[in-house]
Amino acid sequence: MRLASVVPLIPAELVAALDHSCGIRTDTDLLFFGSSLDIIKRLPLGTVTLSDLQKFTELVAEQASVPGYRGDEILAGTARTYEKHPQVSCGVKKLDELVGGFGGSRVFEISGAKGSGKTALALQVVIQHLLSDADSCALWIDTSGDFSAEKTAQLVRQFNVAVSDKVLERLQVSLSFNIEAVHDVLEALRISLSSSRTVGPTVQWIVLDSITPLLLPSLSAVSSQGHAMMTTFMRQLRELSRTFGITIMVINGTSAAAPFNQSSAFASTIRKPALGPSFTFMTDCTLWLSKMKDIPDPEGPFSVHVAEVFRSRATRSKTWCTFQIRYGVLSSTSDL
Amino acid sequence: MASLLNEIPRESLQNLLSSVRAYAPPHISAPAPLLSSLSRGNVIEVQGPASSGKTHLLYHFVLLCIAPSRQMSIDFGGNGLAAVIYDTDASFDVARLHQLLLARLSLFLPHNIEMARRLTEESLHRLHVFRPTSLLQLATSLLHLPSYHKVSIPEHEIGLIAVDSMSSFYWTDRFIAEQMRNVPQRELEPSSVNPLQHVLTALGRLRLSHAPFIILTNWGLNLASQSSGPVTFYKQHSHSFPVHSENLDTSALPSSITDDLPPTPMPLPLTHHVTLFPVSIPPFAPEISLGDAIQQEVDYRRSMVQKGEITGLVRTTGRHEITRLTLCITPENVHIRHS
Repeated sequence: MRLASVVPLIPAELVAALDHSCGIRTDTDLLFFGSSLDIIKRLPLGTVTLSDLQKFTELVAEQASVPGYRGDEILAGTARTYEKHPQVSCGVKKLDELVGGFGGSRVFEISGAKGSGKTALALQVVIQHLLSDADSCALWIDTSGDFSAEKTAQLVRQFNVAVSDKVLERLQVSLSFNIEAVHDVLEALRISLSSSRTVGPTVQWIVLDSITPLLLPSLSAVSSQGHAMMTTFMRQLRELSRTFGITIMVINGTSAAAPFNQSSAFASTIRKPALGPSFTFMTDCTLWLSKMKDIPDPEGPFSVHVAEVFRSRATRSKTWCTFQIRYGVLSSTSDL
Repeated sequence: MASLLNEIPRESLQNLLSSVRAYAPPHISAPAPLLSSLSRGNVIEVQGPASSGKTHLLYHFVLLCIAPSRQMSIDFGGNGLAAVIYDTDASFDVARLHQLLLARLSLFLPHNIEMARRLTEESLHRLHVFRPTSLLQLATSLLHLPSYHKVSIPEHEIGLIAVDSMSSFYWTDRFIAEQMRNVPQRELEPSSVNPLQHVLTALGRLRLSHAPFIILTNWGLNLASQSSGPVTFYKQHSHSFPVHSENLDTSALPSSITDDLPPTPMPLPLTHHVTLFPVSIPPFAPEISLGDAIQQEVDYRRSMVQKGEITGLVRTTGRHEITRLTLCITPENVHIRHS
C-alpha cells in the first residue's frame, strides 16, 4: 500500500520527505528500510522526531497487518457453521466414515481414471444434499460439456420421483470452458452470498467437473505463471468454502505415476491425480476411485469399484473401501 | 538499545521452556530425547509431503505452549504461555486442537471433566491466529506483533510463533520474481527485495526481542538426490529460505540455493530441520484379487494404518547425526516417540 494513502494519519510532508530522501513510497519500504534511526539520518534535519517516526511506523504496520483472532472465538464460530451443515451420505456408508462425512467447509478432490465413478459420486452426493435440505441449492460447473440434464433427471427420479422437479430447479449448471469464466461464475456467487438482500435457497454445494482442462494447459516447467494461477484459484475456492460454509468437490483427471503410485494401497495403480505435487497441498481430502470389474447380474449389470483416501486433513489417510454402481447409483458392495 | 536488550532477564525464560523437556503424555514414561535440546529462540523447519503430519506436529507444540503448567497442585506439563499462529492456507483447525487439548487435560482430571473443559477454554484464550493473504502481509503482520501483544495479550508472554505454511505463496512470489527479472533493474530498491526476506527479517527481529520458539512448516516438493538407504530429504524449493547446515560457523555466509545469485545474509538461523514422511506400508501385489485384498486389509494393513505413525528425521544445525522420531496421530492424541 502506498504511504500516500495513509495521509492524514501520517503528515503529508513526512511522506514526501521519505520518498525524496530515502526512496520510501510504500508500507513495506518503510517497515523494512532498516531502523528508524537509519531513516532519520537520511531525512533533512527537523522533518520529524525519532519518537514520532516510530509512532508513525507503528501505525503503518497496524494498517498493513491482518487482524488476529483468539482461539476460543474461532471455535465458537466454527461450531456455528457446522451446525447448519447437515451431513449427507454418498450412498456408501463406509466411504462416508472414511472421509468424515461429505459436508462441512471443505474442498474435496476426486480423482481417478475415466469410468471410475467420479462424476457419479459427486452427482449422488449433491442430489442427496438437495433432497435433504429444501433451502439449499448446488452449483455444478461443467468444463467439458459432459453434463447430461436427462441422465441427472432420471437419477433424481430414482431417488424420489415426487419432488424431482423441485430438486432439479435447485441444481444450477454452468458451462465454463476456461478459468476466467469459472472465476466470473464464482465471483458472482460470492457477491450474491455476501449481499444481505438475497432471498430463497442459497448455494451450499459446488462441484467443478473437472478442473484439469482449466489449469493443465498453463502448467509449464519454464514459467511459474500456470502454477501461480493454480495457487490463486485454489486459494479462492478454499476461502469461498470457509467463509460461506460451502462444500466444494473438485474432479481431477490423472497423469502417469512410475513405477506405481506410492500413495495407493494397490501396486496395480499406475496413475496419479493430475496437476502435479503442488496441487496435493491445495485440497482438504483427496479421493482416488478405480473400477475393478463389471458384473453381469439378472437384476441389472453393475460395476465394482474401490475408493481410496489418499490423504485427508480431517480423518486418517491411506484407508479404502469398495463400492458398486448400478444404473448410475452408488451403493455399498454386498459380500464379494 | 543493545544494553536494554541485555537487561531483559533471559535466565527465567530458559527455565520456563526447560519444562517443555519434561513433558510426556502420562502413558509414556520417558521424555523424548529430541525435546531435551529445545530452548526458546530455537527455529525449527518442518518439511514433508501433503498430509504428512506437519500441522499435527505443530498442534503438539502449541498444546505444550498453551496448556496450563501447574494448577491446584497438578502438573499439567504445559507452559501457560501464548501461541501465535500465522495460518496461510486455512488449514489450522482450532476445533481439532480443542479436541486434542481436552483429551489430554481430561487424562489429568478423569473425575472432573467440567474443570478440564474450563482449563481447555482458558488455554484457547492464549491462542491467537492470523490469516495473511500474501508474504508481504505476513511480514508486516509479524512486525506488528509486538504492538498486538501489548494490546491483545497483555497478561502472557509469547512462547511460540508458527507459520503454517511458508509455501502457500511460493508459486505466486516465484512468478513475480520471474517477471521482475525481465524488467530493467533500477538500483536495488527496498521493494525489489524478495518478500520472503522480509518475513525472515521480521521473524529474526521477533526472535531477538521476544525469544519465542519458532516453527515454520514447508512443503516437501522435490526429493533431494537419492542417497543410499531409507533416508530421504526434500530440497528447499524456496530461494533464500534458511538452509540446514552441519556447520556451526555462523559467520560464514550460507550458500544460496542457486549458485549464480549472490548469497543473501541470513536474518533467521535455522536450529533444527524435521523431515516428515508417513511410515511406508507395502501395497497389495498387482495380481491380487479384490476379495484377498479385503482379507489382507483386515488381517494386517488396517492395524498398521490405524497406528497413525509418521517418521520424522531431525537434523540439528552444527551436528552431524540425524535423530529419528515417530509422530503418532490418533483421534484422541498426537505425541512424539523417540525410536
